[in-house]
Amino acid sequence: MTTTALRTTLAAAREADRAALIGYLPAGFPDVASSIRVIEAMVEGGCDVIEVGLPYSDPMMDGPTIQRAADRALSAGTTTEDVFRVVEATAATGAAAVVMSYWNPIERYGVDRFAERLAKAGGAGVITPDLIPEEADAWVAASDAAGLDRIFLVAPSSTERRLALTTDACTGFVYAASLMGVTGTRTQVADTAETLVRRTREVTAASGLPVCVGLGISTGAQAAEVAAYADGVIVGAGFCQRVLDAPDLETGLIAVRSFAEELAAGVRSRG
Amino acid sequence: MLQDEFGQTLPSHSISAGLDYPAVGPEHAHLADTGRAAYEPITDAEAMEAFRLLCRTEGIIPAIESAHALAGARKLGERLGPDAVILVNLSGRGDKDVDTAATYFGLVDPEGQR
Repeated sequence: MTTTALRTTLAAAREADRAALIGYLPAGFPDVASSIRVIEAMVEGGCDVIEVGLPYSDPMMDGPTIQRAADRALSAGTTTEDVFRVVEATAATGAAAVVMSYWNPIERYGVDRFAERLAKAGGAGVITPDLIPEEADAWVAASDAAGLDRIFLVAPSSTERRLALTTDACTGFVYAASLMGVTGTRTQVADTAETLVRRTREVTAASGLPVCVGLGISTGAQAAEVAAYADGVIVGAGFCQRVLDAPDLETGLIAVRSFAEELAAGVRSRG
Repeated sequence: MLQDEFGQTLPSHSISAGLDYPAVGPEHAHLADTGRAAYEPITDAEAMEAFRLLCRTEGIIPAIESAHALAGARKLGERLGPDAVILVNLSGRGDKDVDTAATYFGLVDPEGQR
């Protein structure tokens, strides 16, 4: 494998001296067809990368907003196959599409089969929040075979040893969780985020692996703040909230597009 | 884990909140796989009968989770006979469970008037 759409996109953002904007939405929220339209609005507004969430019944890293969105998707009958359909539609927008999934649905689908199917759908990689590199042998083999990036997470609690081990196992980027908590909007970006990125860069100096920050970023100003030190800014709950708050889909799409524009301006306002 | 064909967790039921979870921890799975522990199911009714028994005979209110162990001990005792010595780990106390127990035993009316 030489490259992926994800790597190309992140490299282009770095070349342009800005951070990439990574937007998250659960596939099937509020239903499969509508989730594709929301993602299209996110891309129109300026998202470079879309994290397509595989809605899961036991989302241990997610706060109430994304839990509600995932519940809606599951209630609408969203399945793993639907996630691939949403990935196909996402890739068709020109944005890089990665899946964010807890491990159990992937294991249940079949690790090799999941990787092959995702690659065929045009997906560039998978973010696996509850898989640690030491237990990822099957995933490393399957993602290598399918040409997919694998994104693991680091957190403020990660030791130097774990930062090195995790980033060595990552391709595409490493997901830096800004704080010891769950997804959701917050009034301030945690001050642990910048320290974590700096510590992570100390172990990725040789590889140049991009470091993208997620958790608690929900305004253009916060995106600009994080863009000053990170390669990518990950936003999820803010998009879900706008869809949840809208009286109908069309209104929601306008709010989502405008929110993406605000964030896209933020990631271009580096220092 | 209790799961559907897509790996989504399925709803579980137990009268004990602490056991009302669709999966099992890795330590228990390991103990079972290596033959160091045996696991037997207990129904809500068996657990609550054991709960009542310990309250009545010892004046100790067991946690409903622990009442499952007591119910298991009763079953084991029936198999092993009166000379057996059985040690039960009463892992929690049941004062947190009195509302659940009162409802189960019909000691409150459904409108909440005690």
